[in-house]
Amino acid sequence: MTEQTLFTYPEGWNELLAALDFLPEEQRNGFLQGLLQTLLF
Amino acid sequence: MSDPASLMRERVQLYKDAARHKKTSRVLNVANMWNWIVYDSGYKLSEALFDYGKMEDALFKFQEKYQFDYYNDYGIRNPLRVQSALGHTDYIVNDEANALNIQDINYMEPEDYDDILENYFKFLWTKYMPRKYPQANSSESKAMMLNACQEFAQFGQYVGNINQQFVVKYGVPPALGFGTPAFVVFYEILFNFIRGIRGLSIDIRQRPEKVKAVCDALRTVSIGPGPTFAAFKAASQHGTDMNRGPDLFMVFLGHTILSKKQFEVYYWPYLKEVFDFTEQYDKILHIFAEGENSRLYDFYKEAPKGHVVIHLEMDDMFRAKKELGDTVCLCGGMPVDLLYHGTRQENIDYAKRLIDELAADGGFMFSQNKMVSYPNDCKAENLKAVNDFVRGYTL
Repeated sequence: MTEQTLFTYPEGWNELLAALDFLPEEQRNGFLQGLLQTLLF
Repeated sequence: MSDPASLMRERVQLYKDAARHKKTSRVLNVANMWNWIVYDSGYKLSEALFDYGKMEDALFKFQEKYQFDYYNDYGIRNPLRVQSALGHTDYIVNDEANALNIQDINYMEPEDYDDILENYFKFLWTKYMPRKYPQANSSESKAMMLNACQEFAQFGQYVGNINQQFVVKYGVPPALGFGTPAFVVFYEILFNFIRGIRGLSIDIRQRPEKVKAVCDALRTVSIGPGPTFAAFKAASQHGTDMNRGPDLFMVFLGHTILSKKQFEVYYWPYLKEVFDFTEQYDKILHIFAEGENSRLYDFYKEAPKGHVVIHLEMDDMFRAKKELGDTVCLCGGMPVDLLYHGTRQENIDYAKRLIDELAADGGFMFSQNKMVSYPNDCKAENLKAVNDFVRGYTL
């Protein structure tokens, strides 16, 4: 049995967005996209 | 003129004038200085890369010693803390050699081109992330991602703060590379971060239509966090920003494996869009073009005059001036080999020749010809002598 991870879409993506409660809701998607762009480096 | 606010105004104006091919009173000195800054500070690379306070201290001491006018980067290029929160980074830090090494990567299979076309961020989330960060692909993924989010927020604070501090303390405008809206054509994302050199080299021969399709779809995107070029353009107003040097920045690296014909397919249509934007909106674009570029000069000549600065890394600058100087403002020229192996006087003589021959009628910014990274790229006494000379040499 594989472990449950967050890297599913849109379920895991939305789960992480919901957890970013230190940000206003309308900023969370852009924040997460910016993180992914940074993690490319 | 020595207070930071006056220096800031002077440096911004000199940048605009040089880019516009106006004759200037002196030549700007652009720091193409990277990990050598850390080496010169006495910190270990691993210390500075993981401690923003130490990186900031190294940068401040460096500026106080060498007094550059602009920087390509303020220790932002390698956000290792953010990546390390997920248990992996592609970089190998070698403190003894003051080296940051990276091997060719590949986090993509040929069939993934269709997934990128369908939804790029979905591809990154569901395929790229588990492959690159296997430790985070576990029951710990949520905790690790939240930790990475905190690190990303701190990184964002460092980026904003270091750019602002250079303005306030030294009158040095925001970094050209990572303090300015920065973009790459999507081919570069494939080359550098997703498919890798080997994988992409195979794909442009075996499945060129797939590569072209994603390049056409994604076109030009931000380096690091930020909007796509299309979104940036949509939010832009006419006129150049007098609070910074260039209005936007691009870096070329993957072009080094492309023939002229391949460049025309995978690069040029998107670069042309940016060129056209700079003319239409009266903006200035600064390009950092790594490697040797002369086979691509026919494309670079298409730049709108007065709107594009190109930092040529390994090119013969005197030839470049003859072939491109009528349209493009050139940046670069000072050989790192000379900065390490030459005498103080040989360095000053070469710097004088560069300025006399390349800047006499405007359109030139002085800089090092390669990313100064390793201890053997430069000697402190030579760099100090060259910078003192360039700062005081009037045209």
